[in-house]
Amino acid sequence: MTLAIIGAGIIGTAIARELSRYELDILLLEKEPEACMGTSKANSAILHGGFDAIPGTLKARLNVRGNALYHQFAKELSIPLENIGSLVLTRDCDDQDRLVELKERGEINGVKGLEIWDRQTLEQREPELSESVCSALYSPSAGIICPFQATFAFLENAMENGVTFLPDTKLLAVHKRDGKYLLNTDNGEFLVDSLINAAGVDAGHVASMLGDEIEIIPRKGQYRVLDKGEREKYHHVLFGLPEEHSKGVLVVPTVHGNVLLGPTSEVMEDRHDLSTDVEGIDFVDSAVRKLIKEPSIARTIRLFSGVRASTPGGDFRIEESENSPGCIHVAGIDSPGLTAAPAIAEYVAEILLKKILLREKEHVVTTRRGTTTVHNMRAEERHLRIQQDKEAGEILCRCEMVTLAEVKEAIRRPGGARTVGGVKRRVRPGSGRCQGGFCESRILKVLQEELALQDEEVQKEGRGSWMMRRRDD
Amino acid sequence: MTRDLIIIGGGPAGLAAALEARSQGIEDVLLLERASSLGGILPQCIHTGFGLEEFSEELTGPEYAHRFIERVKTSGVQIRTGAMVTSVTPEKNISFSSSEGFEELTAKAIILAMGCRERTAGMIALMGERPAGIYHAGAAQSLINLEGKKLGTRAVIYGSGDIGLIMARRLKWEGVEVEAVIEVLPRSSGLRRNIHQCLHDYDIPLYLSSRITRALGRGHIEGVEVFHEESAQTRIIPCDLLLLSVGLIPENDLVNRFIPMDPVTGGPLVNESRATKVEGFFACGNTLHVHDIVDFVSEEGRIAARGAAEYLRGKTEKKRNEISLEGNIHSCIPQEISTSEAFSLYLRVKEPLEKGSVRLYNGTIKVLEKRLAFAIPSEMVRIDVPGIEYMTELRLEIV
Ligand SMILES: Cc1cc2nc3c(=O)[nH]c(=O)nc-3n(C[C@H](O)[C@H](O)[C@H](O)COP(=O)(O)OP(=O)(O)OC[C@H]3O[C@@H](n4cnc5c(N)ncnc54)[C@H](O)[C@@H]3O)c2cc1C
Ligand SMILES: Cc1cc2nc3c(=O)[nH]c(=O)nc-3n(C[C@H](O)[C@H](O)[C@H](O)COP(=O)(O)OP(=O)(O)OC[C@H]3O[C@@H](n4cnc5c(N)ncnc54)[C@H](O)[C@@H]3O)c2cc1C
Repeated sequence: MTLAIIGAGIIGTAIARELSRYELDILLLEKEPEACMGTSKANSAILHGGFDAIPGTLKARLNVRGNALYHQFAKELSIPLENIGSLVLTRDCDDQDRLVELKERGEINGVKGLEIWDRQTLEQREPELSESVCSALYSPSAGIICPFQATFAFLENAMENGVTFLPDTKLLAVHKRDGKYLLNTDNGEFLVDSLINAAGVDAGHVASMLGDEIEIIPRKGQYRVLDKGEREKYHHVLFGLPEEHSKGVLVVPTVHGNVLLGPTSEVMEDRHDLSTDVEGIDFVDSAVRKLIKEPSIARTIRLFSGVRASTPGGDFRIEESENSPGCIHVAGIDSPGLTAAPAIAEYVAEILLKKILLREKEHVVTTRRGTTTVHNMRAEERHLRIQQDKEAGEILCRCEMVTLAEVKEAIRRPGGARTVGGVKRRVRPGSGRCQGGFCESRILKVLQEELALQDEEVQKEGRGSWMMRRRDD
Repeated sequence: MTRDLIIIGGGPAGLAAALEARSQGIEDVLLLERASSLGGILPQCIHTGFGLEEFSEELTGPEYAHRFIERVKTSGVQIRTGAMVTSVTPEKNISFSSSEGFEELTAKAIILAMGCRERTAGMIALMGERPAGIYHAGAAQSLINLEGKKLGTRAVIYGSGDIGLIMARRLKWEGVEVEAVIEVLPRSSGLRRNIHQCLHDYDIPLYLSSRITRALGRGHIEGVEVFHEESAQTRIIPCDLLLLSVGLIPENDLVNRFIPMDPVTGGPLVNESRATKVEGFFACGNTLHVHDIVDFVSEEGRIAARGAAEYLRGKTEKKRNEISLEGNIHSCIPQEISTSEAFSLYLRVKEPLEKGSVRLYNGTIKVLEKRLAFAIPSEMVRIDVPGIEYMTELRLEIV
């Protein structure tokens, strides 16, 4: 039996990995040149505790389960994860009731260890908070994660277990043919028995190809990224009280040592609009000032935004297609989709197992080795490593101290980097304070050599993001 | 292993420092450079305009560098290229990585000559979608001049400092349409000669008091939205290449944890020997403050090397006197004086000035007064000061 998954974000790759345990031919289709180029690359990177979802919803259940699953296999799959806990801060002591309510909600959802902290406790454990903060809900199971590495880990593990990854393959239309589905893409046709729609903000569009209607409301979030050195100030993920459609503006330490300030929550006409604007960033700045003492805005190294695929009902929509039997929609996966991803994958497998008999493979690989960061090695170990591989001594990136060996590995791994952005998400050159000023030309060169690319074929990110022209153009 | 002198960075500052250190009689000089060859930023500066002071000739960047490199190679300086210094401690332990390994050394004295880096789109809050086709001007210069790449066909340049101006002309020569140079300030921050030779001679428009508020386009840049302060009007300029030349930052990440910095220059606080406030550490070139003319960089490299040589010979430093700045002064190098002998000050004014004067006071006594017919922020002014015997409080003003 052949199954196609549309979309190689965190959701599509998690599903591919989960289903790769079974005797199935799996195709993972992605319109962009690599995995992790949609919403999975631009979010708050929090492993949510799960206290704020409405009890009984898919979000509530799959968030708590997803959080637990990451903790189980983060090591095995080399996914950077730090269990730093989160705080929901209140400024008005009258809002104390809402904290208690949230705590109760969390307990119903099965979140463990929730506590309410008073100002005094906060002063000891989170000294950089704004004067006006009065109390907080502490959630110890919340953490931070690398969304890029999580996606790549799922992808690589899935490929290792036989999944075929098809980047640069955009699904254009689906035709029913003798109980099967003929997928029309810009990279050839594929005949499959089943299709899983994990197309993120495009899930509504893909649903329509299957004759179904799913409404996606794109909701943009804008951020600032602060330079290294700021993270040391904050010890938890910091939230304000949740708002109607979002978790509000946050202060998030990242596993890479930066701090994110954001996001906004803006309903968009255009689901692919990733622009930042003055209004959005000003909004972030003033919201953040309510949580912490003066934020170091001058230490911004980048602005970015991501788009949530929300639904009118507010919950995830994971369901079998009405009009195309055997196909499953995994739509409306806004926050906490990153956290829930492995649980969503389990849930999709459950739905599938109810419909068809799937045999488990005899041998499945469950681990994945990450790239070793040369810069984090102890001196002697590092010296030895360079003796074995000269390129581990050649530093291409001045900010993150990334070596040629790591960049080449990022490209050579299964489902590896094809773009400047892809190298950056895998091993970080270009994500530091100089923003590629030093390394970009070097990265271009390595990409060209490794992938035999002409000048005009090098891309920064996805389609149309060419970086150079042919000389005779 | 302990080395006498380690110089970090093999650009014009480091090269001049290395040569002078040898002529001062320091036997053991090690020069560490992360690039595969020496010269710093110069090899990519293929335009002329280098060396008027140093050699009384107008050379290109590579030619200027070549003259120093040739001499350094035969001077007995030990050179390691492809060697990136990854950490420096206040005890002067240095670690560096190269294809030969990860090595750790201790130095008796260190000269910092790491140059500078470019300010980024994030720092100037460039709005829009972050499309491809936005390059830092220096990075673009290296891709075009050293790698022979073609980056686009219609360019806009943001920032009218020297790099922006030189790149405008360079792109024109490459057959690229240069739509405009956009400058936030009401005046260019480049050298006068560059405004004439790079813009006027090629009819490239310069829009002053204007800000790029947004980069248009999704996959690749399609244009920029430019806001003009006075008229409050916004215009759109189509382009497929945007070069950012929005300022340089002294490269001090290795040492700014422990060496006190001048918040205005972004480099260490130094005295007339270019000694920082941490014993045995000296700084010169763009690491110390951003220079517009390379000849001053070389001179500063020599000053730092003489300082390091005296330090190695065991000369102890006299009390430092901070120079307080008043009036139309943006910055001054050195910031502190600890000698009774003659020294030079390198100043930048805040605002353009015509017919002004510089005055230096020691307590209430005027030590020096010099007329300044003309000064602009982009051009450094050098003032030679005679020795001051009994130094109390130094105060410098430009009026
Ligand atoms: C601002 C913001 C903050 C967030 N913060 C968090 C957080 O802190 N914690 C958390 O748990 N979650 C968070 N989320 C939610 C989380 O990021 C998303 O739920 C998750 O990334 C969704 O993954 P996905 O795989 O569904 O979508 P995507 O990553 O967008 O993947 C979908 C893929 O489908 C591809 N595709 C689309 N159409 C086609 C086609 N026709 N053919 C082939 N391929 C196609 C796209 O190119 C894309 O790669 C946040 C989201 C946003 C926007
Ligand atoms: C585009 C441009 C045009 C210019 N035009 C002119 C002109 O026309 N006329 C003129 O007189 N001047 C000009 N200049 C100015 C002049 O070239 C610079 O001021 C001068 O190069 C600065 O010298 P430096 O040695 O301080 O820095 P750099 O030349 O930048 O050298 C610093 C060196 O340190 C190395 N380094 C840094 N960190 C490390 C580390 N951790 N480990 C090892 N090595 C390290 C770097 O690789 C580099 O080689 C121009 C500059 C630019 C950028």
